[in-house]
Amino acid sequence: MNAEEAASGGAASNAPTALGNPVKSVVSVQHLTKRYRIEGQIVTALDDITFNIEEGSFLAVAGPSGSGKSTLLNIIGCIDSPTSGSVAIDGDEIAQRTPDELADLRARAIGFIFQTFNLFPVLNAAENVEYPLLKRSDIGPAERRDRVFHYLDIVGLADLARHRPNQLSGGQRQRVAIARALVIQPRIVLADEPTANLDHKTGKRILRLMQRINRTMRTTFVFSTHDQKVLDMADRRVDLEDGEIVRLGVRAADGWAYAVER
Amino acid sequence: MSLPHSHARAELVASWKLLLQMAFRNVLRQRSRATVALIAISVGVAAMVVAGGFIHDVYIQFAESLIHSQYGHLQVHRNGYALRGIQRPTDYLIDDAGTVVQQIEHTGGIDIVLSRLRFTGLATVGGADVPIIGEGVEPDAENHLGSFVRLVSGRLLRNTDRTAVIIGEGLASALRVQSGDRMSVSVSVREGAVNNLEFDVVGVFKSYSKDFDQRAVRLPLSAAQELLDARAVNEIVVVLRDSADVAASEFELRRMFAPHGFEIGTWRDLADFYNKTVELFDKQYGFLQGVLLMMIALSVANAINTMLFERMPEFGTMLALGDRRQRVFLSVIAECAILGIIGSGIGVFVGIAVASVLSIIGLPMPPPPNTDLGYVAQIRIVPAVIVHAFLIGVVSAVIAGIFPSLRIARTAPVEALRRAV
Repeated sequence: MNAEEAASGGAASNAPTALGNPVKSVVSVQHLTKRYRIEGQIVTALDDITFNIEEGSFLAVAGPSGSGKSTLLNIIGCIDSPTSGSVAIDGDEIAQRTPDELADLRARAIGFIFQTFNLFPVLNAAENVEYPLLKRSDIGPAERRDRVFHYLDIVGLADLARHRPNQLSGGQRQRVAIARALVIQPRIVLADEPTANLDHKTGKRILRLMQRINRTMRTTFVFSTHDQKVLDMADRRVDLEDGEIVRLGVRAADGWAYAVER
Repeated sequence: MSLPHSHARAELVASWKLLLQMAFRNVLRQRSRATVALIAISVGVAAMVVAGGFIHDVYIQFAESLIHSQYGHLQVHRNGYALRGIQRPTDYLIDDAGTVVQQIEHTGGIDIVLSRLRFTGLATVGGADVPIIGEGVEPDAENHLGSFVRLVSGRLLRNTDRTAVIIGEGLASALRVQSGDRMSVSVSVREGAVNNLEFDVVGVFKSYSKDFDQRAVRLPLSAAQELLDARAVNEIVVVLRDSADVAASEFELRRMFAPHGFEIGTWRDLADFYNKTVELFDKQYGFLQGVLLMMIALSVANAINTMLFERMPEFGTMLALGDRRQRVFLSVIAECAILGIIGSGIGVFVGIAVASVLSIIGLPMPPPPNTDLGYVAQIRIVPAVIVHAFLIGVVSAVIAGIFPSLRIARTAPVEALRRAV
């Protein structure tokens, strides 16, 4: 099977394409296309993308700059909308949802880790981690407090809970962002180039932390990268080029096994 | 099943608490931009506090001058005087004035009660005749009332005077008389005859009203009664200890005297010029407030716009983390309101400080139109004006924030996140 077949939906209309284990899909992407109009020109950022993301996977979206990685993550994260095609999270289509319904979905099911950390500078680490929980009426103050310190502890920053972002290093800020993404106990964590603003050593530590959380807590992670060393830490990969899937791979004992390869 | 409900309430409280904390900290964080907005708000609010205090002082000084030069706080007349008494004052005489005065003096809050006999007539000096408004007054009581009458030359009337008059400056000028000269006053009496008496001009005065000064002749009540051949008065003037008691005293006097054929008028019923002046000033001040509101809103809008658009990725993050648009809108409005509250607070403080200093120095003012007396203005500290100015400051800051808040709340999360500065 090649990329064109996968993109046309032949192999992917109702089953996982690359990650064919009998595991439940968290996200199902079907024939996803995204086009922008830039200065009168139509630019295709994603072209007929189809694949599934399985629960508990540690999936890398790889590709050069401009290949559509961020656009794909943004649409899966419900902060951008597709031109055509569909995305389902836990089997629920997001296409017909109102902005408020999408906000509620993000608040409950999706954790974000940004390249530039995007912490609120006026809140300290604990308050930043607590922020997404304040929209959750099912979580009381005691549980909220427990969760905040639990996840700060997991990322190794319990001692720096009262520090504001400007008092933390880049790596520490990204750890706070990871705790903030995890605190809602999301179905999926989306990380757009999470190590791009970090030095190599710190970036690797952050990836290891994410990997450890993925393995111990079975949290599904999807992260974009164009760094081969970072890519090697993933157990699944989706390679994009010019908005199309060129490879869907799964980690094998001796390297990558590709279900789709152009 | 009260747990989820209590969770929801606790979440709401915590959510709003954090939203307000963030708003407050964001205001402090962007100090230079916030300072520009705060200066615009506080200057506008301070200007309103000072302007409002000045106008209030004009009202008070004007009112007190009218009360203490002409009207008193309340006046008691025979029924119909208000309608026709100016033309035919001697048709509305109160013969038993002493009894009425005594009864009034026994009610509470009275400073002084005095009787007047008003009439119209002619003043003659040499060949010159000038129509006059005469006032027969009780000199010592009237001098006590008339703290706003300023003597230009000569002296005031005394209780011991028999044939003395004081006249307005305009009338003195028209008749070309001065203190020490003599003049005759002629009036029509009840039977249709004309009475004429000679008087010594012992003083020339200025009151607040130029019109009044051009026709005013004051003479002892006994002399006026002799001139009119009537042992009566047609006006009883009541001066209260506190101007705030006018409504209560009016009610009490009406209760006592209305059934006996008397009408009670307050100084505001009589002071048409005052009412029109207040109406005009109120409109001008209202317009000024509107202009200041617009100026504050426009000045603050620019600063707020810059403050908010610099932080667009933060709002994108809020949306990405699951905040609804409404909450993002409210968080921006909360920031604007906090800016407004801080700016208005500073403005009120500055306004009160400026008002206090100016009041200590005093502002010498020229005579207002149609008046003869200048005065020293103060800037009153008026709670209602302060509250009004404070609210206008806050409201204009919120208005300034509405448009950028809507723009931010309507921006797609991905767009907001991309706009990193």
